[in-house]
Amino acid sequence: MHYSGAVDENWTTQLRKGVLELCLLNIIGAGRIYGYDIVRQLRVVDALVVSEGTIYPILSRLKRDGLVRTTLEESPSGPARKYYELTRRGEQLLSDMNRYWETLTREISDLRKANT
Amino acid sequence: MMMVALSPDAKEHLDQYLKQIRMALAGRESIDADEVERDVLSHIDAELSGTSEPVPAHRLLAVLDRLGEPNEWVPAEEAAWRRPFAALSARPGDWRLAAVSLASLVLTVILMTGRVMLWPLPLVLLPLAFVTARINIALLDDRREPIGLRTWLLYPVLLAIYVPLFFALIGGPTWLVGNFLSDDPSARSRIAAMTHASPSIAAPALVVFVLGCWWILLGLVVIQTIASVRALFRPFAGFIDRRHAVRLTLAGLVLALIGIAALTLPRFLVATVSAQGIARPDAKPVDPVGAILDAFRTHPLVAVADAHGNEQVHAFRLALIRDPRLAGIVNDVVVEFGTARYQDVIDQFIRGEDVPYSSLRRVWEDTTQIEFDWDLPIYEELLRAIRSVNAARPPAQRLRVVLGDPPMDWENIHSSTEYLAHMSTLDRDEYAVEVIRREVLAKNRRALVIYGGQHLLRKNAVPNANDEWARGLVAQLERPGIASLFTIDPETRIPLSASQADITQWRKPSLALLTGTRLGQMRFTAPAQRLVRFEDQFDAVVYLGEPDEMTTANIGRTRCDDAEYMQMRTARLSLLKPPAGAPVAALGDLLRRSCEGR
Repeated sequence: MHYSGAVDENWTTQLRKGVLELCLLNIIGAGRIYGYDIVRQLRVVDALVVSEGTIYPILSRLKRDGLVRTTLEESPSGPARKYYELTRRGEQLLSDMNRYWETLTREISDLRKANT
Repeated sequence: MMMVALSPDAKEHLDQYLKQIRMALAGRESIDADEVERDVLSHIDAELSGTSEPVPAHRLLAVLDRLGEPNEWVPAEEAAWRRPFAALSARPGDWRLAAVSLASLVLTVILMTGRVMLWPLPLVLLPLAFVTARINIALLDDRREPIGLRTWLLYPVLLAIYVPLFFALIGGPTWLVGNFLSDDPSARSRIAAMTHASPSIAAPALVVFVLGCWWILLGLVVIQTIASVRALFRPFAGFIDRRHAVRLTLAGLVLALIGIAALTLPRFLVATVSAQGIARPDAKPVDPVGAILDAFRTHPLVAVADAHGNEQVHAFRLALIRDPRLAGIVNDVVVEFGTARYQDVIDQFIRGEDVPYSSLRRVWEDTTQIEFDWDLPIYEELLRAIRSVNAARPPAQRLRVVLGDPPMDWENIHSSTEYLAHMSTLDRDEYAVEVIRREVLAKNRRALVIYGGQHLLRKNAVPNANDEWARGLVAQLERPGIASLFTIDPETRIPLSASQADITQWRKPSLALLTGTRLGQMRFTAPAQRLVRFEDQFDAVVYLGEPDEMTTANIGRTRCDDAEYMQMRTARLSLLKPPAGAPVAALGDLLRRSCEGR
């Protein structure tokens, strides 16, 4: 589902950017995971990803920022696989982000209800 | 490395995709391009596992399509600055950004050449044109799209910056050194003096040496930064490789060696010649008039030094003026011994018109000088000789006498203080130069310049002086390149036979060129002064006899019996007195002695 045309593109881009990062952290936060599997999981959130190539740079940045760490493991069926997992700092950030997200969505929901 | 086997087409597509990603990531040091490539391959491998092999191109392209454009692998925050430009060049074949580049350049040119510059707008527009052109080319590279006809929009912009930048880089400090030497003749002279080479060799040699050193440095830097140079001059420098940089370094080495050789060889040769005692050839006597005729073929001005009052020099000058071979060759005679205030008087006199003597004598009596040198009859005689010569010549061959001493208003000079104050505002040589420029050079005429020897010196004899040039009229004409003179010293004080014994056998007068001769090598300055050789000061010497043969003219009975003259001259001589205890006679005493014929 694409919103461009109906919604201001810049607004969706900015929203998507923040939310995509939250989603990535949540996926990784669930347990150590192979990079390709992260992409596969995100495919179901059609509104979030424009192209899959954008996900890897974000993962790289999360790694550079010390929020995730990676390990390479040999794969019997292909090239070595890169696995992602949260660092302690990443876990803390994810916890804060989730709490903020819940508060935000709840309050926005309440606001919308009050105005409909 | 992928495990999934790809068809040749698919493999080609993948290679292309990876190449474009690497180009998009080029220059972004925060991103490990190898790691990104591993991520891509790992993703594709996982995506295609289980697919029948070899994987056809369309299956791979579907995966690549989901991955998105190669430039999307650049993190959004890294590429933020590119967005506005990318928007102007969003699709293949989009010419808007290229048009913006060229328009900025055209507007810059219009503003710079038009009446309204709107400063500093051109300063903003030109970099904008360049930057947008570079970004456009980078975006085209990203898309693997050829520049095509956009060349006509982008290359003018890039060349407007690259061409001057290229020459600035190739020339480097040479431009500064060259300009400095070109603007400062004294610097050229200092270098020439240091190296013993002529200024016309020393200055270019220094420039060649600096250029050589610069190329060596530039070549070494380029060897270390080939990729940066290619990027800086993209898309024109793709062909540059290490070999070019090495060649530049070697060319610089050759130039530096040539420069060093040209700068040091003259000094080495001089030292060798001096050490081996190799004798220079003797000066050869020639006919003075013939030599002066030759000099006028290459010089508009020939200067003959005047040893004030010397009768042999006067006789030589008279013979020169009267020689028919100079008719039509010399147009003017510029003299020190007449005040420019009375140029109209001397013009009338020289033309042969009747001029009252009371007016004529003011020409030499009212110069800026208080001494009676110009009152000696020999100077009046020279003027009368010129008048006589003119009377016998057709108008086109007649001589004009140009008075070179600055105008002097003696009516307003009543004291030593007033005289010194007035003289401090004058530069007699500067005035003579101005007169020569205006009356001779500007009119494409040729002149015989008759001035005291000090005014004709080229080199400064003051020890450790910063400026090697003397301050006389010859130096003031030659130093800035206004004119080149042929200067002649009818020598009356230095015993020339001490340097070259056979001189005493020469016919009197004889002229000898000095350059390259033993006589020219003779020291011209006193031991306490800076070493300046005879050939550095004059081009030729006229031999009139040994110093003890020289005689000085006396003032003459007519003037000494002229009470009004004696009162005027004595009063002026009294304006300057020798310092107390100085071993020189007061000027008034000199006049009295001259009147007594001593």
